[in-house]
Amino acid sequence: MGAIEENSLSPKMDRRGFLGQASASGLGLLGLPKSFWEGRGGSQKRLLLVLEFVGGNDALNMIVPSGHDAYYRARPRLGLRKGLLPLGEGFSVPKGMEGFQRMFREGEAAVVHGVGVPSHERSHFRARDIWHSGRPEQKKPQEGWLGRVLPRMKGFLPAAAVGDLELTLALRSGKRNVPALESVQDLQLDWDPQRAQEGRWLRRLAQLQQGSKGVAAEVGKVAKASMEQAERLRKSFAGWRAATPFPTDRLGRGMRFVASLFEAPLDTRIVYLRHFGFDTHAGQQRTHPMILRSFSKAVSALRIQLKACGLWDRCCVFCWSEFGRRVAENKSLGTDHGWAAPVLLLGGGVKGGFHGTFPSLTDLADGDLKAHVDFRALYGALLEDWLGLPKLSHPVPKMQGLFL
Amino acid sequence: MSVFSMSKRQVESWMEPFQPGKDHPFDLASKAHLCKRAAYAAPPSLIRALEGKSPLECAHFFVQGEPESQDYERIEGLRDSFLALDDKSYIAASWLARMELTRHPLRQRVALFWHDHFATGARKVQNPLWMEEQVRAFEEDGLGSFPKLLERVIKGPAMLKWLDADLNRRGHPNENLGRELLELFTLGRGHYSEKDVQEASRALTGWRIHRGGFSFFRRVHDGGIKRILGETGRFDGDALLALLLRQEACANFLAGKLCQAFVGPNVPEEAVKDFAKVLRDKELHIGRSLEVLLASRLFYDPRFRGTKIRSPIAFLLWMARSMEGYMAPRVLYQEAAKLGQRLLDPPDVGGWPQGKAWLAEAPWILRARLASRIGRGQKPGPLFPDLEDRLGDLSPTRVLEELLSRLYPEGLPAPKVALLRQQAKEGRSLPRKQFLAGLFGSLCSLPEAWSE
Repeated sequence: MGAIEENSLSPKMDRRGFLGQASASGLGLLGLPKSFWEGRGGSQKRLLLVLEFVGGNDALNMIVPSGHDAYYRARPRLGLRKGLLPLGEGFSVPKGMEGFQRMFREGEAAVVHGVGVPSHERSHFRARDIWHSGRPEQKKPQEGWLGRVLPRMKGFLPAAAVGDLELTLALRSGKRNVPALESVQDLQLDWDPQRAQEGRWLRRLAQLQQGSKGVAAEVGKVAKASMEQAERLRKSFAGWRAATPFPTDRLGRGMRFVASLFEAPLDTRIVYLRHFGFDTHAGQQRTHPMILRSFSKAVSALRIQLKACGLWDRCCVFCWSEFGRRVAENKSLGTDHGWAAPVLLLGGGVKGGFHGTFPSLTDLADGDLKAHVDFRALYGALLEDWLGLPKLSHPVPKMQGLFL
Repeated sequence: MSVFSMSKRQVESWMEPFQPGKDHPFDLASKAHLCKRAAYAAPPSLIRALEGKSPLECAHFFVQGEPESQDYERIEGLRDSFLALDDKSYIAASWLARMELTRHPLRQRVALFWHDHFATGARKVQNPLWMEEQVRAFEEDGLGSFPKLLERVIKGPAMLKWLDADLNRRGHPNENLGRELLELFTLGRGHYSEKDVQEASRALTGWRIHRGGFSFFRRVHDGGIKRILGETGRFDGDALLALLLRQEACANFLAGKLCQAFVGPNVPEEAVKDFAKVLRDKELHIGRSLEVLLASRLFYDPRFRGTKIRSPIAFLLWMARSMEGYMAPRVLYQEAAKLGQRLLDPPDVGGWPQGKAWLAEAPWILRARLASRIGRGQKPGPLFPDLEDRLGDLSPTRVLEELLSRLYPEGLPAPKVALLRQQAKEGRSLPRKQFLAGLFGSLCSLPEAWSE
């Protein structure tokens, strides 16, 4: 679907916030740079939301192999039986993931079986380092798989981490410092130009950026661009309303912010978000379904929101965890660190359904599912086939057929 | 003839003391330059303390420091209780508090320099106590003998853990520690071969953490003959350190990094060489060498003034120390993290990307937002004492003068001062808080606020 069609022919998909507000505030169509008018919607660029399930997700209780007896034998107490929502091929998701089930049925969710790091790795720290860097051969990786491609991306805010002070390794780059943002306010000046006095200050602050020498002159240039961008953002966000209520928990709030970042004229293409609480060594029958429900609800809201503004087809949500968990339950109604697990890809441009083969529940590596898909095969597909970045060198062939 | 016109006259050494003269007086601007580089900020009280002192005496003043205040001692006294919390963010926050309150700011500035040099990440070490031990080494020995500091840091459990010393054994060498020791801590890239790294790693076998401290395990040490940097012998770790410290490249490497930290990004190579000679003459004693550097012609050369982009921590400390106030340590920690510099968690072994790497649109907005928030001083304000209390009932124009003398004693371009005067004049009709927020926000969002 082309940019013009989206913006002019489907008014209900019009991004009311950004475009509506712009004309309401008298800016109108004229006098604005094309990039602003078209905003995100005008660009064909694709978006990536990386959603990390922190702690090692027990994926066997998320994409439940409900058609496999071995699953129930290994999990006499934790195995899920009641209220399962079928996906087909002998798999289900637990109650609470209705939103995800709908996406899957409508062909907008892909489940890639048996993904993991190449060597069996049960330390959170080490496994995360490997996933984040995409470089299992490095003892202490310095740069993230996303950070590495950042210098190739242009624009105001090509990538951001949301809701997180600690910048994840995945986004770290030796060449560019990426901001971690907590809210939209972080990108706006504190001064309100609607108030006469502060409006005057802002104009004066812009004047104050001129006439410096040396390094300060360079700062002045960046400052000028920043102020213009901040003002554009203020106008945009002032009118932004979510098309659907987002959950109010931590993930839901984060997801709402993600939606606004993608919609705003920020050139943001990669956003990183984390969902916590997956290290379920004990009592997981209570907590695990809760965080999965929270995930399903948040991502469903994102889908409605991005559909409303025509971005869902161009967005891919990539959900992963540092490892899956042991097939057999432990004695504390929990599960311990394992290895392989499915990775989820959600979005209008994703080829839905199951990909790859489900690892054997009986032929295990020291009690864990064996990984037969190298996680880097996903990275290659996401960076090249999805984001359309120039060819990168891959140690493993990228996975094919994940996108429409 | 100007002492700065290098092209016309071959100078003896860039390290000659700066000789104030008619053309180059030791004026307010020069002193402000020294204060900002040595102490992050140049509040009037600090400028006054330099009155009547020669450049050499001033450098000595900063290297020596002044006795700490009661507030500082109180913070220092709380170190152990922070430790009990077993949380790295408290270790970091308490360190930042010391940076804000200290009356020996050069010591803290150098300590932060070493944190960047020996960049160790708490996220891997995962033991706040060990990180605290390393910070203590930076604070206590940072201005002292580099050989002593190097040994203390590299044998500290934080570093041993960070660089996997435990995995380095006879027959199964792990090159992590050996490589960084040569590349990042002593010689710098290009002054050793891959073979040197392998042999150095053999020498370091047997270094382990035992009961939270350094221990030498002879059983796993490779006692064979090694050939490192052209010398042959049964090197162990200690002999290796001594060998590295003897290398000319070591002083050169340190000189380059210290020049970058205290003079700026574009120091001529000959000047670095001159400073390296000073370092060698002083047997790699950092404080004594810095005393020479901070009084040198190089340091006061106008070409290097204002050329250093402030890191987030330097920016925050500049605001706080200029106002002779402080931000709540946890807030300071979080603000710096948000701006991209999370203390005790450098992005990699190479430390934080320097200089212009900090400069980008989104970070500019974050800094500007913070500045006006400080100005607003909504209690509990980010800055104590609150600006309103600090500035009392001075008239708006006097407020501007006061703030200018604190933040920019070296002066600003005249058109900018005129614009600011106008803003101050309009301030008469505004509520005090709003006026202060606007003015302080403007002053700390100038392009000149980004560099020192």
